[in-house]
Formats: sequence, structure tokens, C-alpha cells
Amino acid sequence: MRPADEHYINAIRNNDRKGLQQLYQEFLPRISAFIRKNGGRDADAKDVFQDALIVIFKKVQEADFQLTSGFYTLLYGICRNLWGNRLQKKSGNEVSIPEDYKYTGEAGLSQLLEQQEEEQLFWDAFRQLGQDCQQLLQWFFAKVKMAEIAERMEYSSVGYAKKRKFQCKEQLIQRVKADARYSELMNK
Amino acid sequence: MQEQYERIEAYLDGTLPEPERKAFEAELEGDKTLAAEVELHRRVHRTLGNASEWAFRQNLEAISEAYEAPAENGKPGNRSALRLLLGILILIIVASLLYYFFMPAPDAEPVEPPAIEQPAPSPTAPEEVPKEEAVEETTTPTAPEDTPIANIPPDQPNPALEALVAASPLSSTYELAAEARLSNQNFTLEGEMLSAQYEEGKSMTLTLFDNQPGNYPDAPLHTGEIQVMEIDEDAPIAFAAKKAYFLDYEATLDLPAGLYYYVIRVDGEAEALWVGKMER
Repeated sequence: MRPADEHYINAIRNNDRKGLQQLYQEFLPRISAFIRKNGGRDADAKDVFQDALIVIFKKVQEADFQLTSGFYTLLYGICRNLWGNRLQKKSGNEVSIPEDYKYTGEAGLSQLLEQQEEEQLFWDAFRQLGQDCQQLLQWFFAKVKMAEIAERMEYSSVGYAKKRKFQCKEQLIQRVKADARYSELMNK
Repeated sequence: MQEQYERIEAYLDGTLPEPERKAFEAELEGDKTLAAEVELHRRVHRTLGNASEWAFRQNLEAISEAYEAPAENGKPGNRSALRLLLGILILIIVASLLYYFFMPAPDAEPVEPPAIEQPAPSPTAPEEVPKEEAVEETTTPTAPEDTPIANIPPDQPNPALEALVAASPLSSTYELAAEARLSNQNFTLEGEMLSAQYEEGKSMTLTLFDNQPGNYPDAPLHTGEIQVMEIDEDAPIAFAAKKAYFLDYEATLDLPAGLYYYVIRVDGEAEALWVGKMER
């Protein structure tokens, strides 16, 4: 592995802010250029770029992970696949990138890409919630006890914290169900 | 409904007491809607309960926001400054015209008619290059109206080349990404290329330019041939119909401090494939 590639992989593996900033500076403009050329905008490029980094983040957690290509080849390949999938879902046959966009490298990567697309549905729904719901649910999903959550949120009682948790989670579930991707996901 | 949620959560957490768990599982067997609901909760918990991914996402979101901040802060600021200048310019012109046409000017009192052109230079003045900084190139006799190309400080970006850097990779036939470094006098370039069209042996060249607007594309500082190596065909990394190549170039260059741009081309293609930049 080249030193620069190792630096980027370590930045992702260790969630290193400075290294990740360098990654954005170095590679986001190139990914943006690709997305713009293929019917997208800079905001789409940012989303795809972030999702690709999350895919790599999951990949590098695997004990037997080895980078078998250059880092940019991997990143670019994942972005191509993610954007290709989104184009197909978003605009049917109106806009498409060449059929050979499928990135076939890195064992197990296609499964991770699929998983990423599924999970994005939940993250998108979560982001639509109000700030207090996001905070409450973040602690709830992290298995913080309800009594502790009630204290942190400065609620009057644990009972009220449970009620708010239910209301927030219900909002989340309803938003997920209202998303077109949901039926596709549950049919898999 | 709240009770139902709590029951599902206790089941997923494994905290539902044994008799209740068995009863719940029996219920799941016969109720597909409930089973789908439990599955949805399971996936939501699995996804949003991943603490390390949460931290990673939060970090990325913060970086992403900060990344766009300079562009967003800069652009509207520049735009509003430009609007302000334009507004002042229009106001001055309108006021001048009103004064010129409507002020009663007695013949005896010689009133200097305000020059309409006079206010114009002031808003544009900051963008003009001071004459003493102009390059001492002579304009061609065929185009006497051309203004000489100005020199810019060696670390200042060249707008034309910056646009190419931002747009790179410039070809969809030769998908290329490269990075160059200059350490002491050792110039190195490494890159990767995916292409179904590249014919082995075809020459790829690197051309190096400084940042001066007058020097691109006709006055390169350095030109050389890049070494192109196909990446092992058995390697799992490849797009269906494309081959992957590694690009390598090294040279000894004695360059002063400044901003430099490198352009990669392949024989037979009119357009550059990649334009990158580096600082010395």
C-alpha cells in the first residue's frame, strides 16, 4: 500500500478529523466533477462522497481488510456504483451512465453497497426529525437508560421520557414507511 | 401503541420474560404485519444503534459543512460587493444625467458639464492591473487593442488552469486520477487510469507549467513521457470492460517556490486527460 493510501485508510479507520478533512480537499472535487458530468449536482456529490466513505469505514473494520487497489480507485469505484444506482432509481431510463459502471472489485463490497443503500433510508428519516427527538433517540439507540435520558433531557419524569421516546420513534417509523424505498426493502 | 413498541423493544433486547417471549413468538408466526413491524424495528435499531458509525457520520457531517463554508461565505459576499458597486455606479450615472439635462444652466455662468464617463473607472479600478505590473511583452502589430498579459505572483492561482483542475478527470474514455509531489528537486507523479480504449505502448506525456497566464499552453517548463503499467489482470479491482493502469513519472527539477500545474495527455487525443496542481 502506498504511504498516501495508508494515510487515508487510517484516517477513515480511526475517524481522524484532520485526515478526513484532507480526504475531502483532495478527492471531493474530482468526485463532484464526475457526478456533474453524469446528471448530478454538487450536493449529490457530497452525499455520494459521504456514503462512499461510510462504506469504506465499514469495510476497513473487517479484520482481513486489505486494499488491493489504489485508494482513489476504490473510492471512485464506490461513488460510481452509488451514483449509478441512484440515477437508475431516481430517473428511470432518462439519465444513465454506461452499463459498465458496476465496480466489481473488493470481495464483499457489493453486499456493503447494498446495505448502505438500505440503511440510508433510516438515516434519511432520522435526519428529518426535530433536534430533541434526534438527541433522545440517539441515546435510546445507544442503550442509555431511560432514567438517565430523562435527566439529560431535563424531563420531569421517566414516564414522560418514555412517552417522548415513543412519540419520536413513531415519527421515525412513519417516515420510513412513507418512503418509496421501504416497500422495496421489506420485499427483499 | 406505546405498549406495542415497548414489547417489540423488549423482545429485540432479549429482556422479555420467558412466557411472554414464547407467546410473542407464537403471535409473530401467525401475524405477518406484526412480523414485518418487528423486522423494521430490528433494522432501525441495528442501523441507528451503531455507535462508531454514528461518531464517524457526525465527524463527516461537520467536515462537510465546514468544507462548503468558504465557498458559500465567499460567493455571496463577493456578489453583494459587486452589486453595491454596480448600484453606486448606476446612481452616479443617473444623477449625472439628471443634472446634465434638468439643471437650468444660465449662459453667463459657465457650468462644467459633468463627464458621464468619469465615475465609471472607480468601481472597476480594483480589478484593473496597475500599469507598472504589466508584462513588458509587446502586443502583436495585428492586434494593437490587446492588453498585455499581466504577471501574477508565483503563488496565485491561474483561473483558466484552476477550472481544468476542478473539472478533472477531463475524459470519460480515459478515467484518470493523478497526484504529483515535489520534494527538494525530486518531482514524482503517481496516478491510476481506467480505460477500455488505451492501447499498450501509446505514449502518455506530462507537461508542467508555472502559474503565469501567458505560459499555458505554449510555454511549458518541462515535458516528459509517463511510464504506464497495466495493473495485474487477475487483481479483483476492475470495471467490467476496463483495464486498470498505474502511471509513474519521476524527474529532477530545480524550481523556485510557487504554484505549478501539470497536464497529462495521451497520443491521439486532442484534449488533456487530467490537469493537477502542486505547490513548491
